[in-house]
Amino acid sequence: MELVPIHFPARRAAKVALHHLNTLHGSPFNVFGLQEVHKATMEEIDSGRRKYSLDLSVIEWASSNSVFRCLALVTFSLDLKTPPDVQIDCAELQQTMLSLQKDEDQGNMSEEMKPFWHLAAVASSFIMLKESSENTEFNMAQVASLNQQESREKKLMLKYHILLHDFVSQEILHWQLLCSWAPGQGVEILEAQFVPKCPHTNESADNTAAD
Amino acid sequence: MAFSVISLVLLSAAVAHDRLADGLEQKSYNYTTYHTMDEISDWMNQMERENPDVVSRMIYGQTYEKRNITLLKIGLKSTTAKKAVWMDCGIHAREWIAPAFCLHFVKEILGSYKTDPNMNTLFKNLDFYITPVLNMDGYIYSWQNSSTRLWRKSRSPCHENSTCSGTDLNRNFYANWGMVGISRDCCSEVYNGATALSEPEAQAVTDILGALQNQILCYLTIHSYGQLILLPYGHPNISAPNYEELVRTQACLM
Repeated sequence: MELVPIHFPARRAAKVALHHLNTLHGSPFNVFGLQEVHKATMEEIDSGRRKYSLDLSVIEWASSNSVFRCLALVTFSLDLKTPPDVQIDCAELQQTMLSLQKDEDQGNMSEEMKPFWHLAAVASSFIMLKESSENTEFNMAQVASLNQQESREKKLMLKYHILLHDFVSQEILHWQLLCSWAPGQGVEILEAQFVPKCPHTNESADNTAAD
Repeated sequence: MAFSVISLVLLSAAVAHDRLADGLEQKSYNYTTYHTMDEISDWMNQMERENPDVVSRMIYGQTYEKRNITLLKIGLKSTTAKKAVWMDCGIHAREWIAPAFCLHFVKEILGSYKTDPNMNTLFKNLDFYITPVLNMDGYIYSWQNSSTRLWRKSRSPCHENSTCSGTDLNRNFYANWGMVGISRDCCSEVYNGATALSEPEAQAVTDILGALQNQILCYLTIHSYGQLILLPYGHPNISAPNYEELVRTQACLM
């Protein structure tokens, strides 16, 4: 059954889809709101459940004002204890999730990014602990980039590119890592990968100054 | 006394720095942003021009890529030889805050020597020899693009067949050369050079300090990072003969 996109039945279902989207991808810097429903249909499935199929535009209004086109399926059940079920898919959403780029070489960082910098420092500790010996002395030198991934099991998933510095060899070491954090659950490293130096201009591909 | 220094700092921060405009005289220099080597050289000329009674530029050597290593000699002119305080910044190319500090330091002392009695006494009794960027080749290279930003060493080539280059100027001095904290691998960030003083930059510093050796009161070299004041010598088992005095001075500095 075709719905009028600007009338309330479609709009209510669309807003539920937005709530779900915010639980997955929301952050202090990414909050999603409804911009427009383009097309909506509704069908009754099994015993009185109603499934809404929506084509909508979503706007991220906390930082970027980017607009995304999404398709959503929202299923309401009759019994009020059961929350609606939502599936939503938005084009190009991955690119705009929380990201901190090394866009400013002056070393400045905004106040609201500091917690993520702190998280990076904690995550780095896992790596620095593992890599340390009596011949090394590590510090985290820089958070080169940060990209938020889709939350998993209610934990924030953060993909970092971090620069570590070893005081002894004076080498800067690049690490990519995926870590999770949730209040009360601490920081966990899910993936960590050392990024070797690029084999171009004056740098040897794997710089093993083993002294 | 403190008020006049602070008000000068606020004044220079309030005026925007326009990199594209000609004539630095019209604009106030921005001491809270990083500057290219050309801008720093222009600034050095400007400091000499604007403060001819206390500032003079001196070229004391050449880098590997044949640039003139320049310092500012700052102090009230005297007929007799004066004691000297040496400060070099930017031995390590990527440590941009060090040259920025040198510039800031010069600005501070030039802004206070007329009104601050202590600074005035310093200017009367000694000369500051300040090199804003010692490793000019490396500094310029680190400005090229994001893949060169972390360059540390000089820009001289390796002597053996290697795709790497550069010597750590701060491991190239003739002082317990090659004994500790170095690598003999030219690809290493702490490669100490083919021999001691193989690098013209290190040689230039050695030569001028040699010429000034009876006048030098204090040698300062500025780096980043660490929030550390390091005392000689850079060897775990050897301390400088005046170690106790240095420790007391260090306590004052902190």
